[in-house]
Amino acid sequence: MFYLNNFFKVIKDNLLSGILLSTISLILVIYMGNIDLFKNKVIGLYPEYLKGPYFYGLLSASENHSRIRRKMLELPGVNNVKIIEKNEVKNRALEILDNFNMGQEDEFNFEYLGMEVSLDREVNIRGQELIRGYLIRLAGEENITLGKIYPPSISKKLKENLDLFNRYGGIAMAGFLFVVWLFSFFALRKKIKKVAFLIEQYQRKRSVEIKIVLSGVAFFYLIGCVMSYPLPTTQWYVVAGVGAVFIVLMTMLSGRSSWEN
Amino acid sequence: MTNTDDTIFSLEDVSVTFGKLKALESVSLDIHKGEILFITGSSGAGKTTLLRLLAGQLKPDSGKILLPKKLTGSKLFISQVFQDLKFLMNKTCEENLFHSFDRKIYPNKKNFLSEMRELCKILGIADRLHLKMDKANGGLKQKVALVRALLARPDIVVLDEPTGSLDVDNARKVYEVLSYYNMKKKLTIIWASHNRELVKKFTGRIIHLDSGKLVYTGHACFI
Repeated sequence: MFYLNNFFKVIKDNLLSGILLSTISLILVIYMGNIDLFKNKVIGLYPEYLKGPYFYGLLSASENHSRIRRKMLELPGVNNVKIIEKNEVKNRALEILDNFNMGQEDEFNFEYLGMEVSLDREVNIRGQELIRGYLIRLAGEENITLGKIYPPSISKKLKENLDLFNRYGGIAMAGFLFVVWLFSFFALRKKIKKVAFLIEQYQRKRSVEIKIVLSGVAFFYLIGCVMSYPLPTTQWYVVAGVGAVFIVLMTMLSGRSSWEN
Repeated sequence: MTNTDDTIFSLEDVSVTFGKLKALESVSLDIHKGEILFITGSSGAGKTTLLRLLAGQLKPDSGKILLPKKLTGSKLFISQVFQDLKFLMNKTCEENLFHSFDRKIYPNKKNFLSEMRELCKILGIADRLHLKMDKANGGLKQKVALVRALLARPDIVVLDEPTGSLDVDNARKVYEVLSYYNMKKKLTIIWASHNRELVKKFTGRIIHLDSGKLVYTGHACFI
């Protein structure tokens, strides 16, 4: 408690680097334990990246579309099934007919729902046909009309960038966080060294610097663990690894307490 | 050199050089527990070098030095007041004094506070403890450094020009406080000063250094 107390006193006197070190320690623990979760969150911002080939279907409004959607989603290779509401389909159809001067709402009875089925990127043509066949059997041949299969809609440049992020983004982010952490640690270390030096000079205590640093970082590490606990994706062996790296680094970087002006 | 049971430092033929400069040359000296030892000499005579040797901050280039742990078998606690007073300058005098608040020595904080106030009162700085260190003058800083060193309840205190910024009256007060701790708590005092006239007024053993050589050892009042 004595050492933790001194750690917080140093933070209080050096708010910027102190808060930076505390926050980054926390973020680093949570991030490293859930690196895939964060990576997927970023990739999730670009749904077109995850979406492979896709096709539309018109489904009789009398069919139980929720059941069909659920069954389809259970199928391997199906990424997403989006139901397009009856009115939306009707409006779209009327718009098209209107362009040809053919449609009149009162004489047009359009009782269909739309369905957009997105497949995983790696599903091959044979797999695509099997999925379509399954959907037809599920809804009944007379109740569904399927459109052609479109290729993934993502631009080549975006796809390349996201591929790169998928491969190296997680580790690059970890590296960035680690560099910021080291920067804030070094900014605070000089102040901690001074306090540690004075304590060693006037109290019967030894290795004060490493004890102050370790107690402070351990505190934020534990908070990070507690915050990671509810996340089901937490990889605890990585979290333990981060803890080990912290300890090794602190031990290496904290030497004999000295007074540096 | 004859080591008696109460010897806590023993130097035999100790020399220290910095490049071509001989800071100490063949110094032999015993320091006893509970002793008041004044080290005098002009600037550059080797006083600070000798103090740094005793504080364990330096190693001799030749000769033999036995420190308290070797001689007594137990590690004696040394407080130091060197000329470069080390403080957290953005903190008040009182906050700086709290660096000596060791729970092993003062299980009750009240004891620490009362000793701190008592010392500050005697030295006439009790009303200036709220001042930030960067606003404190040289005299106040020296007194705070001395109080901090004494509050640590050391076995040995090593002082380098502790009254350099003080007038004779204040220097006497400092001496009185130290000699009180010497009598009551068997504190060993090693005090370096270039001011021989001041030291002559005090009681204790004196050694005089000249160009790194020990040229006189005897009682302060006989100098």
